Amino acid sequence: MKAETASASVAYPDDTALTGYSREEKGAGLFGGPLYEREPLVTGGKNYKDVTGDVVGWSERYPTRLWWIALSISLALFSLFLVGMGAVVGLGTGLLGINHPIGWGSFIINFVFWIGIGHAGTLISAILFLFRQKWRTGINRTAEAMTIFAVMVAGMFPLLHTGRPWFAYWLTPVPNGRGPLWPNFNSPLAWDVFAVSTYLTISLVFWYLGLLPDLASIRDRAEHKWRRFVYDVLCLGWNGSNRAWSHYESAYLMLAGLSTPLVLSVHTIVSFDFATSGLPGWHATIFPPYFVIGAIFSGFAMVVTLMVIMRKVYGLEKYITLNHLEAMNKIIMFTGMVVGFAYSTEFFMAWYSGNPYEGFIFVNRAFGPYAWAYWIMFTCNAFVPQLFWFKKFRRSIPVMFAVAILVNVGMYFERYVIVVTTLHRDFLPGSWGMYTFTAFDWMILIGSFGMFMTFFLIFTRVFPVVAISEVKGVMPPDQGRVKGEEVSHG
Amino acid sequence: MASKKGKKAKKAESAPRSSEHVDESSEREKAQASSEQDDAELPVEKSPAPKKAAKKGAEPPSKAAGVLALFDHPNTTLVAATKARDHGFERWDVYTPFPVHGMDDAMGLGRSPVPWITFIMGVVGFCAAIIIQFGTMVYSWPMNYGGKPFASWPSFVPITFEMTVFAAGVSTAIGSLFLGGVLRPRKRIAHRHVTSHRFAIFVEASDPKYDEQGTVSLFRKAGAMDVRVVKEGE
Repeated sequence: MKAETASASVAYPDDTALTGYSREEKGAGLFGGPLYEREPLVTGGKNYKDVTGDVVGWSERYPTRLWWIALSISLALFSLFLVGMGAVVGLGTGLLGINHPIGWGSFIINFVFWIGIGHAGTLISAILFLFRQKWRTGINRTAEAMTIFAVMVAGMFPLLHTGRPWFAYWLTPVPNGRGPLWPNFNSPLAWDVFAVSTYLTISLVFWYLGLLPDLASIRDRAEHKWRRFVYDVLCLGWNGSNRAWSHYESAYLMLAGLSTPLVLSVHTIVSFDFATSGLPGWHATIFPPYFVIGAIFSGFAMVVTLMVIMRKVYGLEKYITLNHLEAMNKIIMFTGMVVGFAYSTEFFMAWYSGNPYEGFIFVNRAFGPYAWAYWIMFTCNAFVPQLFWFKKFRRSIPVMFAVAILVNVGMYFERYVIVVTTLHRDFLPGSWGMYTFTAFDWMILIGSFGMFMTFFLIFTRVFPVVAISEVKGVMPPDQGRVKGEEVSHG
Repeated sequence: MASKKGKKAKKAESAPRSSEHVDESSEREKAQASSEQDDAELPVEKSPAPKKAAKKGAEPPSKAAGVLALFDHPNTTLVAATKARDHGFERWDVYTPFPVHGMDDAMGLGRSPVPWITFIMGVVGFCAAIIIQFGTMVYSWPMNYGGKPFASWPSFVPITFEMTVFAAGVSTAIGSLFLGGVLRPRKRIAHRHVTSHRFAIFVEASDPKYDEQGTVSLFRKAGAMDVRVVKEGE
């Protein structure tokens, strides 16, 4: 049996050997029936030592030229973001395209877009953990990092949206000399503050807890004493003691259990910002599930975009295999269909409610001045992922990359459509308007990607990008074992 | 390795002195030892020479800190841990690069109390949120928003939930690290490779059941790839 398992792992030298189907062995199962064995999560016959080396090695080498080029582009965009924000704070939010009927513009669109991106990371780290999906181990570290950076970027926008961000602390219930005057806890905007800050904190804690053992791996490989010291501090002196592991695993399960309702609550509360208003197109009970599923959809598209690049550049194809990508593509297809269903349900409800304002808003969405945005959204989100019905496309890198990019575009337009089309046609035709991007809208939109990519690129060089200890945990021990005489060492 | 300042200083008194400073007054030695322990300032009249001598004397007289057994397979480690548990060791631990399934039972560890921290702190967060929201909206400064009741509890649900999760989550993480001894300042690094590809069991010399030869042969028989006696301060 042992020999069989070991030979099975060697039988998968790399991605090309993977089929996405379980291996069938006739007559090996119960009562002479067939035995199905899943394909390994780590290919190439890697052992425990290789896993550490392949992942940690990247943080030990000098960055490549490609990385420096990518970082300088990201930094340039990040500075564009800072300049844009500075101008908007210094001179006023009127620099953006927002105007009288459309009071919510780029800030809210970008906020909802980025916070949605974050949702995939928590889904992978928490929900898939509870469902015992072992393939999550290859991608969870990067996905969680993506979550944290996306939420950080997202957090900038409501702060700027207040117009006077230096008074943002008024949103927290601190005792003050104004009465004390408290925030209105009936307001969804106050709920947002609590939801987003809790989400960021818990994601950060969850991510860091997972990082501790891997940071210890970096420390124990470190040659230079300063490097050793820095990582020793970062990993809190983690030593792999089983007494620590025991509590750690328990905490991991608890955090996964807490994060699961948390991630669902965050976008639910974001959707309340819209749904609790009395405006046609926003005032709908479908909003919370529709927002949550859209967030997971866009987040997975972002994970696939990043993973396709990262596994290639960092040579991690043996850890993030085609099977991992295929599993994510299945989720993209499923959530894409739910999103498409939600779009259709909205239309049906507009007609079925018999409310003329509701009906007008939806006809105007699909056939009015913003029809182009609506159909970009509908095509990218509901139709394009249908390609993934075919296994060939689910396992094709160029196809999945193109689909993921289109889904990202589509999900940006979803938020654009929701915000703009509802606001630009008010109840009175006298207060109708149009929304156009100014240079500053473009600056903060493009610049926000710069901020995200800057953090992400630094992350990939400083921290282990694959959860080393978790990957080792799902490897068959006979594959991971490193035989041989131990070099004497203290 | 696990050497503490106080220990070092105490040892200095008993350790054989190598150089000509043997005749230094023991009072000064003691003063220095206690000052090192308390992290207080050293006596003013002290010259650097005796300190040097004391440090030399603090070199460990090759006292064993414990027995380290190294393994290359998680299952072998599990079996060896079961044997160590049945032998009745108390001051020992297993070091692994990833959580090995079944190791808690093999070591005889009980169920982790971490879920209790989660629950209790969740209740604390819940109560805090209730107090803050009802306190401010109903008692401190009730305000009329569109004629709705002051104590409109349904709109307090989201923040109550978020604060429950916040308090429970953060304290779960900190509590688990505290209980697992991760936050302790000095810890034993059993071996450089236990965070990569080796599995280790370390039995401390201070264990009541510790017996150097017996412990070594116990792990040899259990299939360890390498068993060694680790010296103090190594």
